[in-house]
Amino acid sequence: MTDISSHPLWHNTEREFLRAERLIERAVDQLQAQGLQHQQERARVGLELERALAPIQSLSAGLQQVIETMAQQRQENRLQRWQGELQNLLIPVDEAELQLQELLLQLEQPTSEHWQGQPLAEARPAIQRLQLQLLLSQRQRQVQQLQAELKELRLRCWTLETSGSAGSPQPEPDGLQGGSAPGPPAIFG
Amino acid sequence: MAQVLVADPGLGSASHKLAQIVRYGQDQPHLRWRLWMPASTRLHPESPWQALASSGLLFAQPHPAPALLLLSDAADWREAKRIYGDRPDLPKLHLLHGLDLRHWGHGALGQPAVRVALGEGLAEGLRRSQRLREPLQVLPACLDPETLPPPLRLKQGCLVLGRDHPELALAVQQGLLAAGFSCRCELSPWPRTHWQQAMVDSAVVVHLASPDGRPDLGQRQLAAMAMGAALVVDGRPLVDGLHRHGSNALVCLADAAELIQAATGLLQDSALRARLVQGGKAVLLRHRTALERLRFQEVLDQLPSHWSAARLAHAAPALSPLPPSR
Repeated sequence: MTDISSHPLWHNTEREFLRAERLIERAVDQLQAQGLQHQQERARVGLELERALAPIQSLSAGLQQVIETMAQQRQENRLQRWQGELQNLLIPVDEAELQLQELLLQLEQPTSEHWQGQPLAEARPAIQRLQLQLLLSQRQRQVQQLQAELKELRLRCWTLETSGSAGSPQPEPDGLQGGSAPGPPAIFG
Repeated sequence: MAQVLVADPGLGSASHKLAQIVRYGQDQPHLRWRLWMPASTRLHPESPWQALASSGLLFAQPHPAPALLLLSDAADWREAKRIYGDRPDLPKLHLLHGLDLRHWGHGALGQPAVRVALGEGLAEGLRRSQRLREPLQVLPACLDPETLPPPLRLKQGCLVLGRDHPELALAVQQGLLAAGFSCRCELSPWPRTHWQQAMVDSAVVVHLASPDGRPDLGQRQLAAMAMGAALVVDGRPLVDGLHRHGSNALVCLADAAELIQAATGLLQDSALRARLVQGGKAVLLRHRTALERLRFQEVLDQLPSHWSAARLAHAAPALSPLPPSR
């Protein structure tokens, strides 16, 4: 009797699964690299935003100081107008500063639950466990297919062996019912 | 000659603001100003119009052919009709400080005018109501701290400004008193000087917003910031972007428990209070009257084009206004 593990279908399946595993591994590695790159990109953009914020904050502080100084002095109409113009200038500066700060805040937020910190390193065991479970269930299905095939072959052998004895009743395929005639051993229920 | 009609001179923040705006107009070199009030008017000593009247701007007779007519409420429009009749060619500047009929009744919207809203909150309400045909000009909410009484260095207790929500204001006051804090409360409208004096030594001011249709001019919130009080406001649509939660005010729901909690927290946490006061001062710097003055002078500089646009808007078919908001 041939061993299951030497059956060509088994070998083919195993080979396919190994190939699939390698592909998954490679995809996971690529994702990890992309995640890292993404994080680096976010850090770079954050740094640029902070750099952009600095002169805006400095301009805002400067304008505020000038307005404050002007407000402390008794002003002619012309100076009043200039003070108003400075306040006018401060409006877009404030808006730009606020927008940049909001962007920076958004950038510091995690993008999703699974991709924060060092996501792939932490998630790797879980991913591998899932892969193994998948592989196991696929192999179990494969074994069941092989068992069914083996059973059919045994039945055929038994039919050929017993075809010489004419008139004898045909046993049920699994040989468990019907008379005392010997049937094929039922090793796989 | 610009003729200002003041049919009903008041004492409140709106009258102060209008008088201030007329003073800005006086700086325009090419425009002279004069005020008209009904002959029976007796100005209160604290009236904001008093200074203008005593500087020789008040005349018993209106100018027969002014180059510009400045009006602010329905009573002014009624008087304009009585004095000048229906004269759609007479340029009019309508300073709006409220949303209801008291501000645009007596046919104010049927005639072309350069419409100017006092504050972004009011402008937003006017845009929503779609009553105006003309493009709307907006003056920002502004205040100079120098015009207020100097605040005390040692501030304590809470002031609740809730003239439009006396029940809620009273509930907040009771809650704060029960928690052991001193608290004063405005349950009916106080005169300007009264609430300003009350702010002088208050560490925290709880400001309950006016109901829909009655946008305020932001004067009380700005005054609280100017006097170094930490501000708690109920979360209605914010006036002119004056408040940012956690930065210069605590913005809460209009709920007694939440307002009490916010005020109590501020009274107990001097660091948080100091942060909000600093934020308030930064806001105030951006809302000094120089900006308001500049905007008004810009409106006056561009008056011919605004007036043309207003007349053009009235030449087009009328919009169907939305029903009045409650």
